[in-house]
Amino acid sequence: MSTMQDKTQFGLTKEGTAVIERLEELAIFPNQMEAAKFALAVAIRSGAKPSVVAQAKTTWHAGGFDPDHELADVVCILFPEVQAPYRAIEALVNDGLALLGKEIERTGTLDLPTLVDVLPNRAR
Amino acid sequence: MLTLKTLALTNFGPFKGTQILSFPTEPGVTIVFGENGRGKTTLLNAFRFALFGTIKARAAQDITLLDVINIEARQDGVFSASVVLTFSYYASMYELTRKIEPRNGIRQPESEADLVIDSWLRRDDDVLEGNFAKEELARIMPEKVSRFFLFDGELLQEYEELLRQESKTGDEIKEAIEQILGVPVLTNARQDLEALHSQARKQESRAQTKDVKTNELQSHLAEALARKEQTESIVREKKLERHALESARAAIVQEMRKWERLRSQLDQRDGLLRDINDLKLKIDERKERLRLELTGVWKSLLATDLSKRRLSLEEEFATLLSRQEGRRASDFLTKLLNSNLDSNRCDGCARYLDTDARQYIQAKLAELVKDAGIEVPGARLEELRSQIGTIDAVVSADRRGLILEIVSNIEEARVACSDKQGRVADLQEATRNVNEAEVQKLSGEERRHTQEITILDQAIQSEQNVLADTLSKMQKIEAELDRIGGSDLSKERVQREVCAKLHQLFEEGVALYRDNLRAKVESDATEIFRELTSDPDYTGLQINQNYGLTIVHRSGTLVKVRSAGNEHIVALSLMGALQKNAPLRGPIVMDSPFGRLDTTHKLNVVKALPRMADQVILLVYESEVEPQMARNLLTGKLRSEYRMKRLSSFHTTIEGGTGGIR
Repeated sequence: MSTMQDKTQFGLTKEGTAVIERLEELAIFPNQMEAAKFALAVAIRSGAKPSVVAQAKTTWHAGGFDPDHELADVVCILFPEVQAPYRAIEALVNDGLALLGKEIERTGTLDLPTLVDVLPNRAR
Repeated sequence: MLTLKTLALTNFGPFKGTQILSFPTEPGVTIVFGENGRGKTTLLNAFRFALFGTIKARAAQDITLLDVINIEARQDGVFSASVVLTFSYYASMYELTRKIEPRNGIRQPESEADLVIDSWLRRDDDVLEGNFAKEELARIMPEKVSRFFLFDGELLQEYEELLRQESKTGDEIKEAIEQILGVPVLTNARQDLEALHSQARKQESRAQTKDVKTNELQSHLAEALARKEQTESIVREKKLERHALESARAAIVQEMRKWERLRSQLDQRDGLLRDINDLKLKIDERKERLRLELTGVWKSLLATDLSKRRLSLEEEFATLLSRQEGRRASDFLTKLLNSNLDSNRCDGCARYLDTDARQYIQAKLAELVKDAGIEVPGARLEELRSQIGTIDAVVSADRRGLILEIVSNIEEARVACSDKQGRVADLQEATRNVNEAEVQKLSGEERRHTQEITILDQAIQSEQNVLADTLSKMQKIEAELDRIGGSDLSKERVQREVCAKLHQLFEEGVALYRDNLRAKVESDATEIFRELTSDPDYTGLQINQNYGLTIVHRSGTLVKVRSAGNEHIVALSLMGALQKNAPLRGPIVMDSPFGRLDTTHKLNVVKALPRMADQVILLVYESEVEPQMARNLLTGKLRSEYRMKRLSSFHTTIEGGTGGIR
């Protein structure tokens, strides 16, 4: 992984796509990109580690998704072993969406306070 | 009627000292005999001076005030003269004094300018001076008609002027004749009426103007009144309507009381539903805000992890930095010690190195060489610095507090909404079997009635404002009408017409009066003339427009050319006729009226004198009228005789008195 070439385009798995569409329906986030970034953060807070994503459908261009490279930097800070941050981002986004999907499935919506505040605490 | 009582003369003309003539008040004749130059004309002038302050000179004479003062008196140093005339006029007694005296500061007057005339009039117990005296005298004896009371026989031929057209003297005499006959009473009235007519015409014109304004104002007033009545009617109707609505609403309210609890529950439910709606809107609004605030929220979620990570990065950074600084110090010391060894001298104390010192330095250098093997990664330091900067930027964007607050608000609203929904459900359960539509209908009707009453109240208020405004306008119009006064054009028109008719009446009346007067004067003059004339063929006199009299011959022929004597007789006839027809009656003072008459005429005139006036004062010389003949002719009518007696050329005394001189 450390020697793997990073992605310039990345995307969501089928499951991830379903969740992000559901999130769009719930109109919690201003757009899909923000929902995806939120999912990434949820995944990190939940203790997920960057992995490899299989069969992801190209959804975003890395330059459009993270124009100032801030998210990639943050991922590299939190995960120093990461050499291809956008691959890591893709994995974490999909992992996060999976978590959110479960939450939606459980509660019918997203419990933002839990996600924003309680969940991280619990994760710690 | 004016009746003379006395005439007192003091240093007036030839009458030196004070001399008094008394005139009997019984109707008749007083004769004052005096030869030429004794002062008959002066005596006539004394009357004139007393009454009018003037002295009439005969032709070619020029009399000044100084000439009036008796010459001998002047020679004696007396420079004053006076005339005091007493008379009665109806019930009042008068004493008229007129005095010539030197102006203040002048002891010996040399001309008229050095003299002044002072006068006063006593009426009963009052003394009238200045204009009061003048006006009173003008009322009793107007100067214009004096020629018919004080006449100079020498001037009788003036009356011939009346027969001439466009004669100035004739016009003056005619005017005087009309005055004595009282024509001015009518002509003045006619003039006054003309003035009144003119004034009435102006008033009518003004009234016409005012009438237009008044009509305009009255039209406005009528409009305002109509508006007022209309508005009052509207207000009445609306109040009735309101009353009906109020009654209906009261009935509804009464009905609604039965359903009060239910209505309250329904109202409560409706209120809750409204609240729920509001809360939902609020939730939607906050959700939208939250949605916007969630941009970059991933940073907030990672803030804690990053802060923790920052600590380890900082620690690593500090270690590397410390190592870098140690390496720098070691390099410096190696360089310094090598330099000391090379120079065999200490740079610190400047002493030469001994063996021990050199060995110590070499040992130190060996230790330093060990340290020189330690690597310091500058790139890592830079990387750490950058990562720490990134963490700081991300952590500073942490908005969890705000997001949680919004979420909390949303939750609170949701809870409240849920609570209210629960209560709504309870209320709906409680009111399930109620005919809500009926209650709602009542409630709706009550609201509608209340609303309509409010609208009616506003309409009534509005109409009352209009009414107040209209009343205010009416008051202003009425005040304006009061100010310009009531216009009565028809009254002014009637006044103008009356004035016009009266003026016309007087116009015709004056002409008729004149004609009648002329006829009367002609008739009376004819009667006197027939007594005076010695020619039996002269049957009468014919009067012209100017009161000029022409002798009519028996044959009907008008005698155009007549003798001086006949002129005299005709003039005296006119005098007599005028006296008879004049509203103003008084004495006649005649100076030398017989100069041109033959004996027959003289006798006739003397006989006729008592008929010419109640009081006749005749100034004659004895050869003109022989005293005894006069006494015979005037038997019973000669009331008094005086005779002027010469004491010197400049001093005449008057003798005689009541009862006559025999």
